Amino acid sequence: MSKSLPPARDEFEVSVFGPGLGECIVVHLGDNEWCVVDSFISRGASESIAAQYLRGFDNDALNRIRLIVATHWHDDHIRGLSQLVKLVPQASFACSDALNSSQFLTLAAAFSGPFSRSSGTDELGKILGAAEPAIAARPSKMKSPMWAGENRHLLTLPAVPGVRSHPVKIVALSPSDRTKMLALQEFANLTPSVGTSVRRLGRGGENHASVAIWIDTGNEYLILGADLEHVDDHQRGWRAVLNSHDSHRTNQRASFIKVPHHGSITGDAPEVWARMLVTNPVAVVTGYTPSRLPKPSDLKRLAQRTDRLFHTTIASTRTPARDPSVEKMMKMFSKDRKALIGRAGQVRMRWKPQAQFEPVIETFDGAAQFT
Amino acid sequence: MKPQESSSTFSHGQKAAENATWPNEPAQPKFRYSESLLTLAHQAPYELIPVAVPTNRVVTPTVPSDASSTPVPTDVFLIPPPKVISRGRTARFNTRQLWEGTVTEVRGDLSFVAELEDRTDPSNPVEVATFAPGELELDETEKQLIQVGASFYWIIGTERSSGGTVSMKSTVKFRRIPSWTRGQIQRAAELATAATQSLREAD
Repeated sequence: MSKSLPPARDEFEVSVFGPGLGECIVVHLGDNEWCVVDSFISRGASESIAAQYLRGFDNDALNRIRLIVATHWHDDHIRGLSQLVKLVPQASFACSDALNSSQFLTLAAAFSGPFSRSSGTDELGKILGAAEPAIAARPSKMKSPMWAGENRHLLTLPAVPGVRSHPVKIVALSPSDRTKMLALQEFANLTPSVGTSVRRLGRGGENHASVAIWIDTGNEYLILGADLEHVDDHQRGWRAVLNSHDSHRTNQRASFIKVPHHGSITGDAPEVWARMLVTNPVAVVTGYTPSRLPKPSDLKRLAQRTDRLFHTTIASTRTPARDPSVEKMMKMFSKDRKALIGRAGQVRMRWKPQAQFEPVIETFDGAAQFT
Repeated sequence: MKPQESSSTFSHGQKAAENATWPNEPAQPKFRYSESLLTLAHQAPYELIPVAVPTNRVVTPTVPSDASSTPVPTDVFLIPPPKVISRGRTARFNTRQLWEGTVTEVRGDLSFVAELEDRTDPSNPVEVATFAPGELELDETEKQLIQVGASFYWIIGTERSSGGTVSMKSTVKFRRIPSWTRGQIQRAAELATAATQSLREAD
């Protein structure tokens, strides 16, 4: 099927894009209404991959984005998001509750503009209005941000006769209150002080404040795992999500998961697969080239959990060709060199609500099923 | 400058007679240079190199056939023209490839991972690579600059030594970067306060 063919009004879609550094998920919620989770800008492009994809449908899809979510502030999840928010001011914007703090806003303000060097804080600083006014993207008619926290409802769309038989609900699974507290400490530690060197902002520690998402389409459930990690603390990460799952989503099991944290072992919670997912779910993993994620061992582990495992960036991070003498020197002085951003692979799953879940799964631009 | 030994060629139309004889060394030989050569010799980047006169040979210059009536001077030595060499020829570096790097991860052994932006061909994708300080031959000052977020230049090029030897060379130079000022920190706090207020009003 053509990539630019839009889904039918009564059809659902989840598309996961990944070029090796960055990920973006576009979800069709039925009735030409859309949700975008995270963002990146492809090489040579001038806007978010989500905007590029939806413009390709030529059916006003871009203007029918209902919700834009920034799962967390790291560079690989957020490039192009401020531009997208500006482009679709009528859409709701949601980000982690931890970002609604003077600690984060100070950080965002400090690292916006000339010191940003494409930092994720720069994008969020623009959206939340903490960047210098001259570069702030926040339109005056933009809705107030929604602060995502554990089990917070982010969007509810009503049923539409003949098109959407059930209401669609989007719920944040994280961050927990304890996670938020730790994130605030981390932001304070990252805030620069007088006399320290001006450097690009580091990524900090764990992906504490990441917003994992649960989507209820009425017939099927989806988990978008963001970069949420699995830590030895029942009040944080996937343990906290599991603690509240049974009470908030009794007997609900998802048939799709965007694998958390690029398939890393640090985001792997076996209990999530046992208690929150159906047997043999569709799983999509995105790459993170700087850390060589997912590692071969990660893919092997995931493949033991499902035989429907897809990878957006399985072979698209080749380095550019250069003069042989320069190449020789590069190999002498550097190791494990890879192109950070390759082709933006896409895994697309479409399905119509029916008794048996029979999705059509397609891969584009270097994405593939892992076998 | 120390006089340069020379077994010397006789140039510019002069040539030694095949059956030259070898007289005693003259007491005070006279040196003759043309005016143009002297002028040239004192202009940068050239310099005049005194040439030692051979001590054991006499040169009989050839003369034009129609100048048979002209007496040939016997009290002079013909001096080869001054050897002209370029002054201060130093090593030259020709950049073939330049990256701007940013350190993204530092490991225990000070090896580090960095993102590399190609400044020679900006259309190339950003690359990521691992570096070991030992192989880069960084001095202690440079090593102290290896921190997450630090910025550096990586240059690969050809170096031509003063002797003319050409070799490939790799150099990594960390940037000395400015520090946060009180004004910048204060401005960030002001923007954060304004943003907090704006978000509360929007709620």
